[in-house]
Amino acid sequence: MSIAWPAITGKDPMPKLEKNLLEMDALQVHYGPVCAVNGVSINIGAGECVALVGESGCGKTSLSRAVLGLEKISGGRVFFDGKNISDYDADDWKKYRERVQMIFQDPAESLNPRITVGGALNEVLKVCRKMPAAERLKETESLLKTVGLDADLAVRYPHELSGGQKQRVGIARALAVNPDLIIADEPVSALDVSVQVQILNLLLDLQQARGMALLLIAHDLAVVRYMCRRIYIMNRGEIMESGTADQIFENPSHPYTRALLDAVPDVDRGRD
Amino acid sequence: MPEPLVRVEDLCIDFGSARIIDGFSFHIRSGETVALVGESGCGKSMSALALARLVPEPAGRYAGGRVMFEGRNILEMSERDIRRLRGNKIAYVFQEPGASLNPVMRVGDQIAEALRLHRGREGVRDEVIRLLEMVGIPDPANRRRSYPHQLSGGQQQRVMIAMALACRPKLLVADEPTTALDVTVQAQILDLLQKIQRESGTAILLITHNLGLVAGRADRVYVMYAGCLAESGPVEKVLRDPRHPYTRALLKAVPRLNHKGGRLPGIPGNVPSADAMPDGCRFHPRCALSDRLCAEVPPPVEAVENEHCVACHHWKRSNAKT
Repeated sequence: MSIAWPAITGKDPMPKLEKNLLEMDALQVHYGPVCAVNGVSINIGAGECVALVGESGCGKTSLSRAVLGLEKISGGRVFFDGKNISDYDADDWKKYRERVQMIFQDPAESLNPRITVGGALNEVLKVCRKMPAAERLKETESLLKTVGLDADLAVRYPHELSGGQKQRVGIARALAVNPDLIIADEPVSALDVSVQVQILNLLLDLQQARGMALLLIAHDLAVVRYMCRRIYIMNRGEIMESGTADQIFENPSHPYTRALLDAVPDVDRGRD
Repeated sequence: MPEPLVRVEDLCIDFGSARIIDGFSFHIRSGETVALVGESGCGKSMSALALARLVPEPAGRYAGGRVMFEGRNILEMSERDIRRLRGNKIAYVFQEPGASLNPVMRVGDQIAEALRLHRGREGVRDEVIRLLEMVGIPDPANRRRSYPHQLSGGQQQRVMIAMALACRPKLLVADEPTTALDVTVQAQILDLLQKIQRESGTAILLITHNLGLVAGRADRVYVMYAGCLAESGPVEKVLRDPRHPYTRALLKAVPRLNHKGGRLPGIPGNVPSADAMPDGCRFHPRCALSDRLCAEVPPPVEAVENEHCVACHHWKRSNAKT
């Protein structure tokens, strides 16, 4: 979409949260002279499921990478549990990365092709949770079960799995450290519709059962509707509109949000 | 009724000892948009590739059936004849435009290739510009000198479509043309395909895993499961009154804007792998309606009415819970 939309200013329809787990304050990310994220403020409460929706190139991935410390923050601040992550020392970073985990878009590319599924999980348990070998084996089994996979799959390599199964392994790996927040960057856009539902339901169940917070990044508004209480709409590095799911879907105030809503394929529409 | 443009009868394709397409039949009439819907691995891409005999051989093998295009069996044509068809009368647009375009060749030259091969050298430059304009690339006279990496995903897909349309094909096969693209771009590309079809009368075979996409975009739909037909018919009929439990499950899985709160109903289980196909109805292990008959006997394709066909022993129990 080539039109530059004006950002809505003045009002903040977001319900105020009591305590923020993650708080971005006018976050900026630059690549050389290019500004990918321009003054974005997003709050996520503990145990809350929040969606960030926008098209390719809107800066949503840069934003999530900056929050994880994978990209340099060029302006603004990010607070986690009330502490600015720019002030973290090496020890703090280590702890932070155990509390915040990421699930990537392409499950095939985020798994090492030469390490078995069990091996990938085992590594996390060994390095981050310092478990003894026997316990790791048991925990690997239970993690696979949690994400709906057969324990026998532990000896398989990523190429032997289907796309949906690989994404489940990615989720199991993120869960292995018992995180407080999972950032899921387009976790289903590479998957079939029928498998999308399975993965989204799994994320929803886990989020509710474990009380984790979830930042769901997507480009399809229909996908986030039933998962998230609050939604942020992003375009060209800025937040266009934010609000509760009901506000966004039933009463979108920004033309860009309406354009996104119109683009969702409608099963019930007739042929013109 | 006149003979359709393409008639595929009882197509069977083997990979090794696994039969990945098992007796699949379908047809496409001139100027019609037909959708082929199913999950990954159900054989929809292989069926489409068979239309121009593009199934990778010798790994894959045509084990039976016919593919009739304008009255001739494509599977028995000489290599020479079939090369005259490919890219000329039958053209393809694939899922990932970035992977289908040559990264070190200007897009205009890539479009010109097919024109030179099938149509001679006269007026190629003007035709390339006309094609780029038709698919909605701004400033086509200059854009034709771009390399693929200088274009966005949506523009790359537009170039692919221009390339496919260069020789005014009778049949355009669009294999998941929008899966790699954003929703807004997806709508634009599908609108473009519809516009082209209205203007040029090209028949389109639209392949997708999203049953929601075909609403309002296709005349007829074939739903495939594990290499077999599950259900086929006019789009409105199949979407409004689906008879196969698999079609119903696929429809329910489409995320809708008006769905709020609670889980979406998924389809339990996975698509069976090609070397472990269940006996009887291939969908029965995942089906709520299945009984002993389903586990033993493959369901015949029966007509619900007119063109609406379904392959399920229990299609008459249409109100049953699935």
